[in-house]
Amino acid sequence: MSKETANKSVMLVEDEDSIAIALRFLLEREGYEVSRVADGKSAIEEIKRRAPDLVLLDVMLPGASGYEVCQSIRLNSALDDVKIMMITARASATERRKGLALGADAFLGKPFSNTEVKAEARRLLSEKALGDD
Amino acid sequence: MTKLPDVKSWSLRLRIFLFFALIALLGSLAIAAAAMFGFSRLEQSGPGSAFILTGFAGALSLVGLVTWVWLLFDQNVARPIQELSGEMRARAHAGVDKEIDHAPARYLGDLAPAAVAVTRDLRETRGALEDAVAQETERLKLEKARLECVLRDAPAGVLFCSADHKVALYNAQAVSLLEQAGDLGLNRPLFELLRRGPVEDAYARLQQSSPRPLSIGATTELLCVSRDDARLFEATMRLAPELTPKGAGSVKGPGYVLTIRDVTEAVAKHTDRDALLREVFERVRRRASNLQTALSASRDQATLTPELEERLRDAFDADTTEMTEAIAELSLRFDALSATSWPMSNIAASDLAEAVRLKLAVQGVDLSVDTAPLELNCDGFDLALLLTSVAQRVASAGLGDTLSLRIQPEEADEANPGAEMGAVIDLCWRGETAPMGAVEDWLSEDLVGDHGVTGREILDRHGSEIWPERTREPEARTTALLRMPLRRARALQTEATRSNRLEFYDFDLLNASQETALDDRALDELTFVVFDTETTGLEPERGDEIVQIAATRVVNSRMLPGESFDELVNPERSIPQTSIEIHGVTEEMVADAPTISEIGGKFHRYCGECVIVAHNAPFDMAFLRRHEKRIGARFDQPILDTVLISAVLYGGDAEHSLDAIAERLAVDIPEELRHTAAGDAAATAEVLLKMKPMLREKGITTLGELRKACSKHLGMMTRPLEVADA
Repeated sequence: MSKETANKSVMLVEDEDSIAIALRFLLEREGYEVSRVADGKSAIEEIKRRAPDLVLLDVMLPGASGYEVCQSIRLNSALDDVKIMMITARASATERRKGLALGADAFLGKPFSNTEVKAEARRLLSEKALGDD
Repeated sequence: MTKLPDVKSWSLRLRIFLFFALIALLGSLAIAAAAMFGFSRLEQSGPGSAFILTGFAGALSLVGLVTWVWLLFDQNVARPIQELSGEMRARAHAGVDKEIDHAPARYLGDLAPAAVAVTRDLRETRGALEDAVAQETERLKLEKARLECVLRDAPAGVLFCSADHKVALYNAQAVSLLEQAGDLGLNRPLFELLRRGPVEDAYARLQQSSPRPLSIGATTELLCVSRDDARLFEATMRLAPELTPKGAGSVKGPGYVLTIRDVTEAVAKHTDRDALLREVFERVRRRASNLQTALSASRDQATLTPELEERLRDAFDADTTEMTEAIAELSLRFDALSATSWPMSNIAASDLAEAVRLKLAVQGVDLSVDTAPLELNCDGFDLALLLTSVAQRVASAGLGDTLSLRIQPEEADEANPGAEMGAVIDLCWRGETAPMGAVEDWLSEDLVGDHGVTGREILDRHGSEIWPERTREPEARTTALLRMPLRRARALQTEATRSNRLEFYDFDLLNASQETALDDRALDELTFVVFDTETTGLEPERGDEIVQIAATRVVNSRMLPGESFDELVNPERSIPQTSIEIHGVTEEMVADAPTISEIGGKFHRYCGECVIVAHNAPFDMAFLRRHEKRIGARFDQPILDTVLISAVLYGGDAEHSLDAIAERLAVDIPEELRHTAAGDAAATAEVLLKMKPMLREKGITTLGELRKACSKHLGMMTRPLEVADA
């Protein structure tokens, strides 16, 4: 566990259990403190309440779409420090633009490899650490 | 005594009978009178003298009598007949329309009224014929205009070619389809643009399969390839009706219409899609079977050693990574392929915006529009429906006011270098940002159209998305917007860029006979390239060079401005100020222009097999000929000089400067165009056109005859020519 990743909180917003379990395992091994929400509506509430350092946000969610969640995080200035990594199975160039325009910090297409997720998470959190300093 | 009928209504036969009866009656009376006169003198002068006197008096009175009757006859019959025939001829040949005056012929019975009837009938027939011709001409004009309309917007390229494969008509689409392959021009060989083989095969096929006389309208399909092999065309060839000349007729065969559609992309897309599918199966199948094998091996606990477990894990990693990458890459390629599969047309951005504005105005929503000169590749109807609905939702949700629709170009982004130019459609307003959830709800509803399509479906067809953004502007309030990118757009094709070349077609080209050598060809049949150059100075042999070449083509006695040639040339040397003052071509203007090796070659191709014409041709040709080696082509076309033609027409001593000739022939050269290559070339072409009928009057109708006549004046070319034309 490296120093820079210690005590960082990551929230998984993902409705599919299989991938949520795998991601939680992966991220906990990296030393992050991981929580999970399974639908869009409660995700918005949870993120407001806990203000995690990083949100892994699936686009296809019941309740509210990932884009909607993303927009509401960015419209809330109290959550400016929250980093957002969007994950989607439909990763066309236009969707990537849409995600980034709505305020996502990274955009990952499914299927992705574990290494990719780990590297992106580390990059975003170290950017955040730099921003915090 | 019965009253005689009116003298004027007596018939001609009665009149002539009366003349002869008069002669007989009066002759008899005269002879009787003479005999009585002689008899009265019998006693005084004796019988001999009395007889002589009788005969003499009888003869004399008979001569007088006949003369009187002849005068009557001449005045009342012969002369009126002659006058009448003269009047009839005037009506038959000179087109006199006035009614015949038949007062002088009043004693000719029915002859005059008959002549009047004939000429009146003639006049009416002639009038009817003129009306018919005028009507027919009008009808032909209308048909021609209709044909132009049809061809202008025909979605395919249309080329009308003669039997020897020269272009007699083309439309704007044909120009844009073939513009990469080369220049399309009237009376140019089709095979400068398309590969010869498929077209000739198809033509032969049509001729063989159709019975003689060739059945018009027989068609065949073919695939043809542009000359540079870059484009593939699906084409239909249809035999065209030909004029069958009276008598033996030509053996040339009919011309044909070639309709071409560019299938390069369709074929490529199909091939790409096939290749993509095959690749998906190959890459995924191999990895999936690898994974399956590795998975079942890992389940077998009995044989699982730590070392094997390690290797299996590596294999899992490698296979999943590869499969992940493959799917990501292949899905991107699939997106790119399928985004173009829905039929789209090119709609002017301003038209789309205006449609949305009008639809909203009906619903009481004000929208201002701001569009770049763009054409959007889209389904205009659906897109207008979507934008209207979204704008209306924004307004009714009370998100803000001052709605505006902005359509701007978007250059291809660096991350995706292969992409074409796109466009961004922004719906802006002053006020709140649109909540994404609401936008998504709007998109999932059926739009108020008649085909129950949702906004989401329309977006998917266009490979697009809509999302909210905010822009911060200097003013206090920020502007909220909904953005929708479009993948494909292009600069607006103006009427000028699209169709300024359509006016040119000439079906007479189909009847031109090509077999004979150029010298035997009538001047009216030939295609001329009339050109002019601007140069750095007057002495090609001392290193002066061309700075500009302009030319225009003259086909079938028509100038074709849409096919003109106008190129600047880098002279690879300085341009003296004195020359710049004449032609206005500066060193900055030619700095980035191609050199004579390139433009000379282009001009040579432009000339093709035409007759080259220039005013003072030896001067211009000297500049070109010096570079024939660099250009890689020889200017061995027949060359005509309007200076010499002028000498043929007006004699060697007249002034033959372009200004002087233009003045004589009432050719107007606008002052601002004088001494520009294009202006002088156009003026020379007009001079040539005006000279042709004058040459015909001199009995010069073929190229050979003209060249022979000109050669008699060749001597004058050794004199230095007017300096002003340089």
